[in-house]
Amino acid sequence: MESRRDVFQAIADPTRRQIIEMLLKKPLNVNEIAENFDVTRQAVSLHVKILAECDLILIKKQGRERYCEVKIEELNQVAKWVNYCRQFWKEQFGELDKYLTKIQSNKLSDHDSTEQ
Amino acid sequence: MTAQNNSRDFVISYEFNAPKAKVFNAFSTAEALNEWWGPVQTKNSVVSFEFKSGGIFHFKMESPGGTNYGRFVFGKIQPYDLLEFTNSFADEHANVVPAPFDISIPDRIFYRIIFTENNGKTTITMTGQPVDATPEQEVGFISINKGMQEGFGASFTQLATYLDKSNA
Repeated sequence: MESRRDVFQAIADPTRRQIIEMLLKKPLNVNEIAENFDVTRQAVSLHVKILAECDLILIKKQGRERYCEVKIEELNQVAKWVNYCRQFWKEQFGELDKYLTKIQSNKLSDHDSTEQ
Repeated sequence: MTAQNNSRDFVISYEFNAPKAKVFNAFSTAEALNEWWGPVQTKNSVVSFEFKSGGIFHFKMESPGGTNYGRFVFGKIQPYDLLEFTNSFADEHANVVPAPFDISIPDRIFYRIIFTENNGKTTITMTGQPVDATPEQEVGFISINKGMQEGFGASFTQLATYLDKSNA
């Protein structure tokens, strides 16, 4: 399966997460973003391109500059997923807890029977 | 800008009244997973299971509404301290498929579980993040590990705060 261009693809990379964080503070152009990283401007430019393809940022022209802005409503998907995931694992660990209690009490009763 | 690598916000912790070998082993055999793993709404069963780095755990989830499959691909396995895997929805051949419901979730999610024991009780701490999926990463977790050090890091703590504010 091809990897999709979606909000999760956008945030899967640590550099892209940092770019999003920076853009949440204020819109920046690619040069301003690149100043904050050790990687090349080309590498930053590629991350910006991926973020735009994932529909997570908007690139606005202002004169000769192109400014990047985060599309906040898209980030809400991340919050929704995190909540879903939290709920799912809470439930799973609840089941695991029951299982562990069961095998431990079985063991205790085995132990009791050998002592009898 | 300084990257703050020490804060992670996508972390789930849970304490079990059992030693860590027992908790770890609940992930390490098909027999154990059959007992507890899978959504509570569905009837879950293990299709295949190979507990080694790169090995696949393929499982079936049946409900009146239909049958879905899921899979883990294991990464690092360090008994009884650490376990890594990616989790996805899958087809009957264990190929990754998108989640079969409305809410959008990542196709592949990388999880790392750390087991710590104290006075016979075990705390597991689980960190999760979407995978920037390429075949190399899927098998070796090469750059995922790098990403994982930052986890759902400072960005997401700030994001959560930001979203709270903007939704208020």
